[in-house]
Amino acid sequence: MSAADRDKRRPSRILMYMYILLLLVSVVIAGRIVYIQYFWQPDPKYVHHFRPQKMRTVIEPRRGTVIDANGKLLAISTPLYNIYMDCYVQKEANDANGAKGAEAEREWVRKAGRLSKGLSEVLASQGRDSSYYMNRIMAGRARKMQHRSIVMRIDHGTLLKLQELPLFDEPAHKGGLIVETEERRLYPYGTLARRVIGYVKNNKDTTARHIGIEGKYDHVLHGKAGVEWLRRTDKRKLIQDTDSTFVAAEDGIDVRTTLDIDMQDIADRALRENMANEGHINGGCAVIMDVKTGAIKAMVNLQRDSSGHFSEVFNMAAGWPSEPGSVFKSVTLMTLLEDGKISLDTEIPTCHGHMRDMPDIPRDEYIMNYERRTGRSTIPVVEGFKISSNYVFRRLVKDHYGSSPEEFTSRLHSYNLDANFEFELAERGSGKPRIPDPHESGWTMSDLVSSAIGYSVRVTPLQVVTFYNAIANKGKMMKPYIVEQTERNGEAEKKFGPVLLNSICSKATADTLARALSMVTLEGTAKRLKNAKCTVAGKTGTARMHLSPQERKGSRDPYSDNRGRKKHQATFVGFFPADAPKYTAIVVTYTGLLEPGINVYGGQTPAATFKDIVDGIWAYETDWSTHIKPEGRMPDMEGPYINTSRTEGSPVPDLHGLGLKDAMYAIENNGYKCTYSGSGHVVSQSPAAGSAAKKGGTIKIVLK
Amino acid sequence: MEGKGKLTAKAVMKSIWSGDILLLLRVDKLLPYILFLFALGWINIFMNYKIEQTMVQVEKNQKILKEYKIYHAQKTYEFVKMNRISTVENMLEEAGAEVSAPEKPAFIIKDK
Repeated sequence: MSAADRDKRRPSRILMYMYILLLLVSVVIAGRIVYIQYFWQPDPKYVHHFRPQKMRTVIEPRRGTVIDANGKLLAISTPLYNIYMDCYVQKEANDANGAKGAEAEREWVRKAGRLSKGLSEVLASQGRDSSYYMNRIMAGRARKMQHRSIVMRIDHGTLLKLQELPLFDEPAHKGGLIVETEERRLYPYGTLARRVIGYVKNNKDTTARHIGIEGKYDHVLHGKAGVEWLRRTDKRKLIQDTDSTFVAAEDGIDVRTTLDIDMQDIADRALRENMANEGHINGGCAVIMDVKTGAIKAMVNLQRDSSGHFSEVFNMAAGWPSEPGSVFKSVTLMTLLEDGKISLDTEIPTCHGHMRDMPDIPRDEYIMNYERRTGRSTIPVVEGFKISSNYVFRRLVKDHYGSSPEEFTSRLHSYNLDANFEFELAERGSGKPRIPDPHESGWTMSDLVSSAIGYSVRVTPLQVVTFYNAIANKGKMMKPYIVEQTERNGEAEKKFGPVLLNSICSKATADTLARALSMVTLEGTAKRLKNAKCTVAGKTGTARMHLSPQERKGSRDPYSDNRGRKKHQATFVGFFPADAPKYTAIVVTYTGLLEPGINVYGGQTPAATFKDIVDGIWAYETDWSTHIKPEGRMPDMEGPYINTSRTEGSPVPDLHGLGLKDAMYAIENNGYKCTYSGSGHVVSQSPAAGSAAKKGGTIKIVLK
Repeated sequence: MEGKGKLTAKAVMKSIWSGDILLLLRVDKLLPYILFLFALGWINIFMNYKIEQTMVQVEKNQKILKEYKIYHAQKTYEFVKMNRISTVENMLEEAGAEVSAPEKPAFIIKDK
């Protein structure tokens, strides 16, 4: 082979070697692939680093909201944020970086100072100054604390403000901000209707599940958790792994109550204010019911705590059966009227208020006063009802049902006075509602005559108000209910009311009773309600309360202790307006042990509270508004102008460019009167903007 | 491999050695399909990448949406809190206003 041929073949040989090399490499690679694919087992320690990371996460459902009858929010779930700080962030790197690191550390500390100042401003409500936060951060840095709490449970708006502060506006590995989310249940009306709405800390809270709507409707409100798998992308971002199971969370269903939170507010305030003035009153409740439907519009339950403040700790209205006292006389009267035994005008002998055939029963002072006042020896039933005479009702029941007490008690059962109405919020109180049974051992005539005046029977305030509501509703008894419907996205899923229980009396009897109840507020024991903003028909009641054996301290009288002290329950129950009832309400208060001689009456605090409730509701109720025609001349406003704010007396505002409505608002809000001409926007004004005008002076504006 | 005989193991080994195995297998005729396959593969990878990017964006948007929902819920809570009758009355009192709770029902202008 010549040298030229050798030179010619040289490149092809080089290529051949390269080719062989590549071929061998490819064979090795192919072999490696096969080996790795089928035979190689990685070290378990490192396996998770080689495989795509998947995380199973539970998707928490959103807890349903609780709203009132008008759609106002009563309970809502939203996350709150807990803020922590990695105080040691970048410290090691700075320490290891010599002079440059020392400068970086000084810069970090300067930023921490600005952060502390910002924290004290943004979190002003915490009442801590910047030195508190600075000391906390620097102490944490010195002690290498990487999870130091800064503030707990802040809202989203505050979080956004914090994220704009120095250090917190930097990535977490530089600034050290750690944000942890915590779902919380919020109640915009605070503790208002707390016992009705209930309370949960969050959707996982199981501690208060039996209380209020939150407890009773937890199975509806809670929703159903979902599951999803997440994986990391190559850029370490988390995304849903669509190859794995995904179960969507089912959010909780909203619960629409029958409550009117404005009425609740009115009733709550009325009861608090009236009870606050009476130190001997330990608590009370108020219920407002819609006459036509039986829907509960408000339910207040207040109990005085050791510090003297009132709070909602027990649903007395639905869970506290007790002897109701004279408010039960309407039950007796209804029975007598319905059975045709009497009319309101039936006269009965007064006998000086003494039941001669039952000498153990004390004399009725009210009858003695009646005799002295009128000089008469008989009393019409309606008069006995007005003055709430125990004698009259004992006498009537004994005379008409003494020989057949079952007739009377079976009537009481037909009024559902011992029914629980399947009421959602009934709590276990002190005993059960009770109507005495003539077949029970120990039954005496005393039980019958006691029942007539509201003793020997035990009923809850809710049962009493439901009975009176039936009178207002012409004899039709509606089932009380507090949940209107469950709904999803505003559409009803399940409706609950209204439900007619039964007709407990004829329309004529109901009308007669309503007339008698109106007399009580006009001339009887509840005259305080005569001046209410709309007419009220109702009944007062006062009862001694059963004492526990501990309270009696050895006394044999179940109503008094060894020093003769008693507890009293005072009630007013009625409906309004008396001629066309729209709402029925009850107010019950109870006292602690009172010294002998001190009494409370339904015509006092309960009637005063009732009046405040009526007046409050009347002012807000649009059904009772006066309707005026759309055309006509608006009368000129007279009398003192209304000062709407403390801006009164301020300089004349600049009105240029404003529309008439805005200009008038600005003028009147600053304590001036306004005259105007033209239409459009303000082009000139007199006096000029910024000048001082006389208090109540007139500002002229021209609009174009 | 016209005129080069049968496709035996020896011929294959020889063609591998000489570097013309692809020609022996007449792969040149399949080139459009191979390119198509590559194109499909590339599209598959590209689509997966894009899907992943979209899903990252979806997650980001969901996070933003969730934050807005939280913001909305908290603002609603704040407004409802201020809407309470007694709160409004207290605020008016604090502002020194003489305006107070209504004492009688509002007049309503009737529609025609």
